[in-house]
Amino acid sequence: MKRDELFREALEENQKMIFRVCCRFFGPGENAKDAYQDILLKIWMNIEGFRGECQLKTWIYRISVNVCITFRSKNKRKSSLFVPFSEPAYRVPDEEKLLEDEENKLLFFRKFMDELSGADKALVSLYLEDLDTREMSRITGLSESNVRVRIHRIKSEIKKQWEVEYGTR
Amino acid sequence: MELDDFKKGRQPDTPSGGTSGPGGNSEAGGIIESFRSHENKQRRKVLYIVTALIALGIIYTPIFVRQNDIMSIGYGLIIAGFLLGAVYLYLAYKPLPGSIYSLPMADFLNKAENKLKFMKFTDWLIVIPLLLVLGTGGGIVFIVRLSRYTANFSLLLVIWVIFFVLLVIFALHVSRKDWQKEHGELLREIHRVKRSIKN
Repeated sequence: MKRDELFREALEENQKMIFRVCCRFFGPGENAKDAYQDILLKIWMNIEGFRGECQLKTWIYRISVNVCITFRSKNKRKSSLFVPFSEPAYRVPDEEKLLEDEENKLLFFRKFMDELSGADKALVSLYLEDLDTREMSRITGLSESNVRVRIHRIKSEIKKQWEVEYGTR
Repeated sequence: MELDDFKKGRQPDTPSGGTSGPGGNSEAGGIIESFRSHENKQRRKVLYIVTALIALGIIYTPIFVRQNDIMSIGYGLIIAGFLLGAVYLYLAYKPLPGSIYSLPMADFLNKAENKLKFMKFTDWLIVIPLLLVLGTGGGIVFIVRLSRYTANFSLLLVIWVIFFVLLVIFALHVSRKDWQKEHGELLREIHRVKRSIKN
């Protein structure tokens, strides 16, 4: 199969996932878009070398995580803390409260992610993609038990930090 | 509040929010086009380096051919040193190869760290003989040319050695600075991630 076709196929099935990973690393701003472009470029340049030693999805996750880890340091731009919301003309009070909560959660999540190390950021991104421990281990090269311990630690930490900041709601 | 609250659905999943849909033909076509032009630019860079190497060879070859025994050895060594040095620089200073990005993160970090170190042991193994070749060739040409003005061979040799050593030190210093500027931050980040993996 030609490179273009292979690339189109890979893109069709994984484009959304790649962008979600970028957004978790950098927030939904310019950095995420740049990293996304960089990932697509790496995929395009190497897709012919993909020999099927692992699933295509795993291969793409690896590229995404590795590019995001190294991309951050190349570009010192701060990740965007603000997630764009589509604002309606007016909101009823309950809805407003809900959106405010939602906004707080997203802001809190971005702040939390910004403080994590590159490796933990990668694990959170993969965990939120609903990957199991074995798959995360294949992508990161960490042992399954290490992945489990780290995810557990991160889950406890995010809960703890949230409670410190917002109480138990 | 749990980590699971942030699973799919809370993040945008298209870079532009466009209507063509992810992986849509027009979008993929545009991306492929831009990548093709990027690849062509990369190829042109390689071509420039190859052209520079050939030009160096062409410039020095007629001088090398016209010389007598001892001078032809000197020029021959200089040409060999330049060409081999340029080939070495081209190979050594290439950016991270794309293929290593598809390795598991831990392996990727090790490989990337290894690639980004300035002057590894293997580099010294190549650079020292290369410098000896260049230094000897340059030394022969320098001493033979200046022996017309003085018969003091030792003085010429000392001048050449001091000049060449200072030149090498300067070149290494500049390369190191340049390397730091280009790869220092990335290397530090890789160290940070590697440390965090060990914790």
